[in-house]
Amino acid sequence: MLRNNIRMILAIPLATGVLLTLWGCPKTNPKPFIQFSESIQELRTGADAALTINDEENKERFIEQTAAASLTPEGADAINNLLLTTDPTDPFAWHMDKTPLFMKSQNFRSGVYTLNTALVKYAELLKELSSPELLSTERFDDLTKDLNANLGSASVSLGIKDVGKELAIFSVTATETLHTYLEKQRKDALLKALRENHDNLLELSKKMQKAVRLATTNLNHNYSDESGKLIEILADQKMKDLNKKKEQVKKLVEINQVYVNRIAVMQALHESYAALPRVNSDMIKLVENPKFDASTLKEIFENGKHLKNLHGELVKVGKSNNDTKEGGK
Amino acid sequence: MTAITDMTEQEEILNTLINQKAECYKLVVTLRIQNKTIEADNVKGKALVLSAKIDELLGKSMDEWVIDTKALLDDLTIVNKEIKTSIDQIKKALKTAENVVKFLKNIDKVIDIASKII
Repeated sequence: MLRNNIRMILAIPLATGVLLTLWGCPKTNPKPFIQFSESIQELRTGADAALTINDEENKERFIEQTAAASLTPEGADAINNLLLTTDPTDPFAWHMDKTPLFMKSQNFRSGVYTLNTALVKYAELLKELSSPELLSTERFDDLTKDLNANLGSASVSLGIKDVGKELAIFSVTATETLHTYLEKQRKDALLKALRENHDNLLELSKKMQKAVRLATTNLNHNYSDESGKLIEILADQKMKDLNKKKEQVKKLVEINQVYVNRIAVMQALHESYAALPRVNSDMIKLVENPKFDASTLKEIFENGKHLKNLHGELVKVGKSNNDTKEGGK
Repeated sequence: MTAITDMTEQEEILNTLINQKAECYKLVVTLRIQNKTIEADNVKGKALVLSAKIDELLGKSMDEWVIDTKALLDDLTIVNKEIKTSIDQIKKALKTAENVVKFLKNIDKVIDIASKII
């Protein structure tokens, strides 16, 4: 009787397992999600680095313009603007007549970083959800072994013999059923996240593209002021020393090179953010069909690597320029 | 190259002002070469006024961008919490299965004791 009951218990999960296996639930490939996560982190680093350079230049320009204004008869406003005023009703409040651009751009950079961090978090969660670690084979193997051992000792205790093979099938099937079920739950959760977040990503893509364009406008603005000042010095007819002229030309050429590199970083950032909705769509297709060729993912990954290289070059150029400035002082 | 289709009128105005400022700087150079100092100073003054105006407009655009993204940030935070919940549920299901097996192990001991008594 007991033996028959055990056979019946064994039959149910075995049938369920076979059905679930036939129904099929291919494992999710984690690689694209790992690449996506890495690319998004590069985007955040690249954007923050580019915006930090803008902040520093905005601050430098403010210092220079305020100092120059202090020498003019209309300079009182510029000087007074440096004195922050307090609020008699709030000891923690401060006020500045005209908030300088560098303070606004710092706040803007912080906003861009926060939004990028939400995107990084999203990509990390997708990576975790698709990771083999989440449903590791080792844990299921241990589960099978433990279940097999437990049922084996139970059957011995109950005086049932010769069911070892069937119990082994039972434990394998039971854990496989659970594995298949959880694998399906994982796939459903991934699809739900990717689909439900698509509109947000579309919006984020537009907002971040706008942020990059604003940062590029800021870069263009700083560049034209800096190079405008230098070409004016070069045009000074009182300066007759050819070597000094050559130095000015050299500075301008270097500034132009840095500027062109920075524009390339901005363009790579803009293109990467523009690709986000397409990448999300491709990730949906990839979860639905693991054989799908997600070219946009490769594109954003390559763009991320390109951005890393460009950014590396920019840091080197920036460092060498600073060294030149320090040396020139 | 990505086509920039979403550029706003405010962005176009900003870019135009920057172009005009660059033209002013070029004109300053031309006037300095011609030794027209007064005219050069006047044009340079215009460039500085333009620069201040660009600062103001750019700062305003940045402030607006920060305000505009707050709702999106809230939505993304909610979505991230939901994904985290899904991950936790899967982890919990696996942990429950492991706990059930541990529980069965204890039941085995009870059965073992009971069968010896019977």
